[in-house]
Amino acid sequence: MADPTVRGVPAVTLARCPPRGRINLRGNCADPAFRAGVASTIGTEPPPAANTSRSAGRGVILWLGPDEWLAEVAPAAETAFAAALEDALSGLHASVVAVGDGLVTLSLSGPRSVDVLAKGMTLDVDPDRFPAGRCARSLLAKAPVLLHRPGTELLYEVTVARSFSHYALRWLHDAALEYVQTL
Amino acid sequence: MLLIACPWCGQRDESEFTCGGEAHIQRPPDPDALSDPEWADYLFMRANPKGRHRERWCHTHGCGRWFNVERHTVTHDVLSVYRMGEAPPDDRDGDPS
Ligand SMILES: [Zn+2]
Repeated sequence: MADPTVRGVPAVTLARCPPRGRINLRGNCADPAFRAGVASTIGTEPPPAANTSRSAGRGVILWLGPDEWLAEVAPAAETAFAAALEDALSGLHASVVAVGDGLVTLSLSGPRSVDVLAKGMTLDVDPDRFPAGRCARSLLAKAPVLLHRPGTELLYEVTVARSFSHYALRWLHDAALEYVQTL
Repeated sequence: MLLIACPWCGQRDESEFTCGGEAHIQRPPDPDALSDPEWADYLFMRANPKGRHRERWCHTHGCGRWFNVERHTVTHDVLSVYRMGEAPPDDRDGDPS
């Protein structure tokens, strides 16, 4: 019989996060005008370092590639943020696309969450190797995902295309079963 | 399974990448001037060496960027990785072995 808890904390907790506003952002991070335009809107410049995220009062910006980021904002404000970014970046070689409805974020937390992810990911998600603020696109089983560790607690956010969300949720649930099942 | 060091993301598993075949094949500047065999050579003929091979790879399920990998086709050793537009390491240090 598996122990459903580790030191009194649920071994794994899997949840579907409430809807989020998300904006895919592309541009040249070496251009001060691009950085300033993003900072004036979201509240922080896009993080230039690979696989890192930055959070501000108005949202979080995750690095997707050397010229590509994902800004997460309140769902009701997505359209307004996208319009404000379009304005702030007008005339620059940049792109702003609202993609919130196309993606779903799942959250996995608890002491055994690393073991659950390790069953289907080739990334080293050990908390020491995947510190707070780290993000990375990779594969979870057969689904392309964006993995993010927002803070110092052991909590991973798995963002997937909406069409993959059922698969990812079922896969994570199955992988977590041995740590939470009580007979 | 190969471990490939993406120039941006670092060491990642081969399953995140797509191989785009031989690198540094230049499109003929004036295709109309080519004979059919010359055009076919450009389109279809590849070096297929036993040994060092320069290839284009894309970090499809990571940062999405294309870059170059020099790989040994027998040992599968990844000998070097360099960005698009950069000269292959052998051309830089003059050791085309
Ligand atoms: Zn990469």
